[in-house]
Amino acid sequence: MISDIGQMLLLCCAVMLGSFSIIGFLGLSSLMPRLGPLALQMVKPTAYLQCILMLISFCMLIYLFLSHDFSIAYVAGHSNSFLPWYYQVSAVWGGHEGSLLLWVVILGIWYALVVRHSDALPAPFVGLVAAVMAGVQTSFLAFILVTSDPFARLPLPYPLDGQDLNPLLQDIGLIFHPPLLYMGYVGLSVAFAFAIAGLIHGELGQAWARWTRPWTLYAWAFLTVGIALGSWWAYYELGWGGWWFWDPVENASLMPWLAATGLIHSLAVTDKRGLLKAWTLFLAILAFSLSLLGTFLVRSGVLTSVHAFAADPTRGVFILCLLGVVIGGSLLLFACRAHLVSSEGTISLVSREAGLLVNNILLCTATFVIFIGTLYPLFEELMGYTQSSVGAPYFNAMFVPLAFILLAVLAVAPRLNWKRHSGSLVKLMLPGLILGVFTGGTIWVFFGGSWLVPVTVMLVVALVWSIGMDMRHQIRYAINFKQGIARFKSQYYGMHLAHFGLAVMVVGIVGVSNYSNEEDMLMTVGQTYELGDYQVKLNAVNTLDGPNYKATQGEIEFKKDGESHVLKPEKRFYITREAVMTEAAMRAGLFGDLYVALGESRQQNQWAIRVHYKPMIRWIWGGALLIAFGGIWASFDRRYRRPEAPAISDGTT
Amino acid sequence: MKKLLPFTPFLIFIALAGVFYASIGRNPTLNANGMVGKMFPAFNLPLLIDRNEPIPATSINLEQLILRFQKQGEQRPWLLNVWASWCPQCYHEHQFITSLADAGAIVVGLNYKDETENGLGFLNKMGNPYDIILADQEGALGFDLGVSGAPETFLIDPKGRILVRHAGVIDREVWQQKFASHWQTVTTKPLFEEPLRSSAL
Repeated sequence: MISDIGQMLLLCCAVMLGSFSIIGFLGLSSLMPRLGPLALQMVKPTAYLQCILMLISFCMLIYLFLSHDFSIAYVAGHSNSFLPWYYQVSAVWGGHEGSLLLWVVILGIWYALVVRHSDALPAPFVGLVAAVMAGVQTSFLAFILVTSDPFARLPLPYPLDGQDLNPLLQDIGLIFHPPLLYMGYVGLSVAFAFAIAGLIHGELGQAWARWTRPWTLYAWAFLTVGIALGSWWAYYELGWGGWWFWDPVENASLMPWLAATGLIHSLAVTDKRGLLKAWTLFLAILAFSLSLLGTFLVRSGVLTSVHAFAADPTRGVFILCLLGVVIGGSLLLFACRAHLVSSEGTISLVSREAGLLVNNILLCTATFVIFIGTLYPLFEELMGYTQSSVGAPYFNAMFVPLAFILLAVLAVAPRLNWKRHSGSLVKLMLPGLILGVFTGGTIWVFFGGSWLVPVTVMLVVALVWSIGMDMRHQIRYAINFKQGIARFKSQYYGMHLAHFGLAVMVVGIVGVSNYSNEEDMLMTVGQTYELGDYQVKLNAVNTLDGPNYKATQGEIEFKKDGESHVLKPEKRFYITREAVMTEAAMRAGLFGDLYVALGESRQQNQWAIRVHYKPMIRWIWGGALLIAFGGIWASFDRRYRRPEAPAISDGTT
Repeated sequence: MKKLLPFTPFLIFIALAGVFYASIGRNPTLNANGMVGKMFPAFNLPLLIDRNEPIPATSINLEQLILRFQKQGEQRPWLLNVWASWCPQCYHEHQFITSLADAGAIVVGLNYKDETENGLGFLNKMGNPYDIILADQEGALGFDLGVSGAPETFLIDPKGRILVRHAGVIDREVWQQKFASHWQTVTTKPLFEEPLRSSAL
């Protein structure tokens, strides 16, 4: 009963949004202007109604999970009556059908918010933006209803209990990772809709870029946190002690992030200088297209990965049609209309916008590198060669040099003036560079590691120094310190914070890739080992019963300078899925993690234990959080909220 | 020329869509035999477990591995099975791998991109049919072999030349279709005595 209502609500939404989208496109472009007034009247009611209907439908699926309705195929496949309630809720998005439903629900929320907060924009323009989002929403709803219905029933007899959620996904990280990631993916649809609306409208002022900026910043910040959370989850849940695997699923989320990062920066150029308009439009389309690709890549059977979400080739053709309409259509529109969007003015070699252009080129190259690496097996197979995976060596070899150049540009560009920078670059950067060389060299002498260490440290120091100098420079021109601080716009703070976050992250990456330690030990209960500065003792090995698993838990004591702490790694056997999972235990520290995993018992009372030391690993995620926070901070800039912005003419009337 | 430039992204997309379309539902096993006929790539990997020695040597390379089989007696081909505890199909496939070993085949395991204790846990639960297991945590050998995922199985002749490659689950039927004839050209004797019945699996 509930499931039928849920299904009906989705169908209603699809019909309503489909018709609105058609009316909106016809009425608000120059095709059928007499539909225009009708379309304008429909904008707000449809946006709010679809959001409410989506949320109700989503709550119904949650209810079906919580009430153990195993007559629903999706519930039976991803839940179990012994699963704790919070995992029952997160199981809603633990598989293909439910995660797509989450996708459309989030799109519904963004859509309603955009319509709600766009009163300052010309109504026909908002109408077109809404029509684009409604169109995207309709195609996804159609996909869900035709191929991936989360409310579908199983044939009789219904199973007595569910097959349980994949134990890998029974984790706090997975409760939050997909929603955050999807907030980012879907949020990029706003910039996309603004771009398409702008192209249809034909006239783009700089104001368009200004409206797009805060929305893109929100989406990008969510995406940043989502990816960081995914990396953190992989670190402690997969039990391999790694934080990034260049796995297709990870790459699929990194590509839209890189494109969106490029978009944020080129939006700045378009906003401030009115340049690179067509390029910015293209990036907006590209970023959302890559989000769509990221959503589907791993679900269509085109590429698979260890993350093992459902991969089903029968859905592939539908997905391809959907991508063809949304991405192909918008790229065709771009091709036909881009000439209407002209940018006047030139970019001089040494200027802020030149730096941002280099940033864009680098980020797009990085996106391209990942794109090729991820899809390489596909191309190769099609040419008739063997399928080979392009692994970390390729990505590291391509990515590291790009990152170096990017860091170097990043240290310089924010200090340049718009239009034309006068003054010596050498004088500007030399002190930071000297400081960097000195610090990098010192660290290398004391800690060793590859030659990449001093180079990266040098760049990071130069970057941080440059940020500090820039702020000092700004404050010095104010009357007093307090006024100097107040002078800064939140956009300025946000930018520097995000860049500083990147520096923190790079330090973490350098630390963990160069100075990690790993030790395997065989221990009997009561035995003590010397491991570096630590005395390691296996106190006991106990068995315990979880709600849906049985576990063996080791009690391992680490002693150092009289201080001791106990870590309790587990080995869990999940009963329904018959799967063994390693629950590593870790002691997180600002300068390094102690990470312990319990192995098998080889002989009586003898246990294999693996201890990792991961220096600075928290800096990676901490840096990501700073980056995201910088994005949010920047989006608060009052300049984005000024009501006098409209510069797009009401061209339709 | 300048008018055509904006069309490039669209054209690239169309080309990509074509690639995607051609790849949908395509069985990766059909074309996955680029390494066939080539020599087994050189490697030097730590061991996960060695059935013949209680305390395993820390690592082994290709020459040592081939020497080891030659020491064991007659010239026989050997199998390399790529598996991992994270791979659901590997649990499914394991029974047939065990029956291969029971029938007298040398099966080398390649524990692919797996954590040591998870791999050992798999063996504790499912049994160990492997003569020796290489631990390829980074996927280095897998990369050289062109492994796209687990499970995959290779048949290698006594000199180290790859005869057959199969990506995906191996079962009695696959063995009969792809492996059996190659096996017999080297050994002259079939691995399984009784013929395959259609209902055998």
